[in-house]
Amino acid sequence: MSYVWRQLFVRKVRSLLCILGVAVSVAMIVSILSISQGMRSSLNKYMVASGASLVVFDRTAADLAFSRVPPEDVARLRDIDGVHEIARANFAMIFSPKLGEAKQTGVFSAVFCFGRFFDEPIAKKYGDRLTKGSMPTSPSQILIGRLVAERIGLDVGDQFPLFHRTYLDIEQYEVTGIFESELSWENLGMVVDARVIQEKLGGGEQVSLVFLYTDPDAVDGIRAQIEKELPSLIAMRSSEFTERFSDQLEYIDQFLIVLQLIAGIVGVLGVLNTMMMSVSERVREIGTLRALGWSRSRVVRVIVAEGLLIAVLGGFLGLAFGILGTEAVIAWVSDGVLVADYAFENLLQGFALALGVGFFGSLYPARRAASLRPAEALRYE
Amino acid sequence: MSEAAGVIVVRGARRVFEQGRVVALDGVDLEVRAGEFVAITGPSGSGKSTLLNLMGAMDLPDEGEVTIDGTKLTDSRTLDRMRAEKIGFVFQMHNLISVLTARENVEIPLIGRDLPRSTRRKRAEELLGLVGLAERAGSTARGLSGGERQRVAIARAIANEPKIILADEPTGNLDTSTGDDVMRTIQDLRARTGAALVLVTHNEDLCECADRWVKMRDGHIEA
Repeated sequence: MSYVWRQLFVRKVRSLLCILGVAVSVAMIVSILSISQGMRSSLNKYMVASGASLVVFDRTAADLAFSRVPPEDVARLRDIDGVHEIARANFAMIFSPKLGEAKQTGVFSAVFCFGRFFDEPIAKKYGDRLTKGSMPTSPSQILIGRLVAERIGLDVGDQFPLFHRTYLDIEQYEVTGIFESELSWENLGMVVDARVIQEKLGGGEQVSLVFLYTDPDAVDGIRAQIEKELPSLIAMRSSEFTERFSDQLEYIDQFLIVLQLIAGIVGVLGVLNTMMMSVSERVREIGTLRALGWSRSRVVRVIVAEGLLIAVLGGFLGLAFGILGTEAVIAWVSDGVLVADYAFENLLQGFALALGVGFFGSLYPARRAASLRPAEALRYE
Repeated sequence: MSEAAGVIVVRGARRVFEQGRVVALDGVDLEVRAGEFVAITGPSGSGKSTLLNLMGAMDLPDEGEVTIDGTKLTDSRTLDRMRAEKIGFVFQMHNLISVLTARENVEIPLIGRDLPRSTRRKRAEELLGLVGLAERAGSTARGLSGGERQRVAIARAIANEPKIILADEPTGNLDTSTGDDVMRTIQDLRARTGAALVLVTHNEDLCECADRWVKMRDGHIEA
């Protein structure tokens, strides 16, 4: 092992560059996986925080943005036995005139508009999160998230035009409160009366989602009833909802696979180049080892071990770079809107990538080294 | 000479290079008995090193056969095993691994035999003591003088308790005094271990000490 370790220091700069190459590949993968995981976990927390037993939406909607639940279906959901309360929600993403005038500092220059009915539970939860002001009581009043307040310089009592057109004849919206959510992206949003969003979306009294608050024991029965009586809708528990949303993000997973492949190939080429140079500089040394009784397989093991040592060091460095880099991106570029979840599986995946890079990058040089005939290798100048 | 008595038996060995254009060995017969000291001399290109490679299980003949301690060399696996178990090499250029210490260099053949680390370390220190370098065990090869390096190489050559020590011009790069010292060390250790010694050299004075002096020319043994 000391032989393997010391070989690293024979060409220090080359070893360091190779380690950095592996580290960059690992860091990239860890960063993307962690942010992807973080966004999914964040969505899950959001759904769980609603406190609802079931979430109901349009069965045929490929994305929540396209979900439409008509008012008559909402009424029938409200009348189901065992449903204590419902909460309706819709949403939009906008650039408001006010936002357009403001100097944007982050990558997210648009804001979320969470359409809520202020007397329903899904809106009431914002009452617990207010850092300033009070809950709105009329459609012309809104809550804003901490990031919106900071970015645009809004405060409680300020009035501004939210849209380029007027909805419900409202021109100016008054900020009645500022909230802070543990979900950072929610802080880049506004809570607006759902009727305003309904008029903006032009779908009458349709909503995107309906949250149902039920007896815990009645959840499965209510769900079955909805499936039977309202076949155009789908009812899901919160955790299932996240899974469905994750399915919609499958293309991100595929993108990640491609990225990992690219990172892996680049890493393998880096290690391959380094190890090939190392072997070609040590022909005589390898011939000596073979002459002194080392078998081909032992030579292969030693060269692969050198590659793996580079990979392990690059892997640990990559994990550190990945976490620090992600935190830097979240803090400085996304202004905290992105969230990362450094799940053990993601870190393991990054480290496994490093090991794979080390193994496959050193395998060919190792075989080349082992195939050297000792008599010829010892004559090598 | 019966074949059973020879620790190395070379029969009709022919070795050619460059697709037959260069005949390095042409039907060489040689037998080295256990504990025997055989000196091989000859001009450059006479086939000394090629013969040494065959006797050292580093190469196979194109024709003929080589047997080491009763085992006929037939394939690379057998060659590997013979080198690991039966043969110790002393090279002209010492060939120490520069990043390793003297002790670690001596351990190399023992690693090839999968001995435990503590056993390897103890054995290496004993051997360095035998060649008078016990106190230099922790020095890297770079920190040793030419004579010290060659003595480490000698200790390394006998680390696996070989039946055969093959030395290719071991004093070729040393001054006379250091060379004499190195040869004395080799002879002492040979006497102590009972190993056969095959020495390739240009120094005919060294051949006077040998049990047998083999002279080579143009791929043949002259005498």
